[in-house]
Amino acid sequence: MMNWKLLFNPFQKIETNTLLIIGGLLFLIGSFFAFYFGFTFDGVLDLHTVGEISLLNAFKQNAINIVILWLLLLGLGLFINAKTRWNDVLVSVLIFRIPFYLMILLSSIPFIKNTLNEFANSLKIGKEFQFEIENILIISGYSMVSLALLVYAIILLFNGFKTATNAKGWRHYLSFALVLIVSEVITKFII
Amino acid sequence: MKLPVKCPSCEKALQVSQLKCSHCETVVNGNYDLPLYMKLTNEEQDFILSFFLTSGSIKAMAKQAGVSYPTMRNKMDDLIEKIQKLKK
Repeated sequence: MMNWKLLFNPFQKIETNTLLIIGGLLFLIGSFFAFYFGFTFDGVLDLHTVGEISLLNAFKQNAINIVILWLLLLGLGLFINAKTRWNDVLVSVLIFRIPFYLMILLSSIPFIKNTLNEFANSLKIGKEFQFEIENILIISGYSMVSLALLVYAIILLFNGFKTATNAKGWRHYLSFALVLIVSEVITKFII
Repeated sequence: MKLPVKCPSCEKALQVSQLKCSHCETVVNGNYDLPLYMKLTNEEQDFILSFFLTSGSIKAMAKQAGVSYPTMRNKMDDLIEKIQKLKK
């Protein structure tokens, strides 16, 4: 049976150092995926197709997102609880990125990629898109799974932050949401 | 048998009003506060005992309980907060 608690809150049971290794390795793999499949991480909550991107830029973008979000959340974490450790917050951010790497793989499945390209091109040149049942199913299915992955990423980040800082109450949760939005704006501006 | 520490009717902390020697049947009546440790739940008392037995190592406690270090530290912080409230 699948352990849902572990899937949504691995920070509760798995040691920080283990998660640091997993998150670090997946950072390397995810950045490589962005380079290989042509995606840009142009914001902490963003993932877009660009066709081509250099390996260095893919790593740089992913690293900028991680560092900015980490520093802002660490600042908030220390404000909430002076005992907050830098590595617990870093782990939350590294694990939060995993669903984005899965999104790259999902978007690179040939029949999904072709349908999305067709749809994007028809929007670009103003051509009418062939709204066949198959295309509608693919696009709506893809949108739903992407949205679910984004929500999953935010749940992971929230649970990681909560475990790292022992955050409680609406004031802490609201500050977390604000920091996430601010980091999105900053990274969008930098990248 | 579990010692009741809260009133089942109004949830306020209970006090000791009678103590009895099981050997000579002497009964002492009075109005005594329960010691702070006794006001904690069994789980919280076990937690403190486990902290003592691991020489105050949260890391060792986390390992024993199969949880991560920050999870155990949060549990400790919550208990400290509760005890500080009880002391007031």
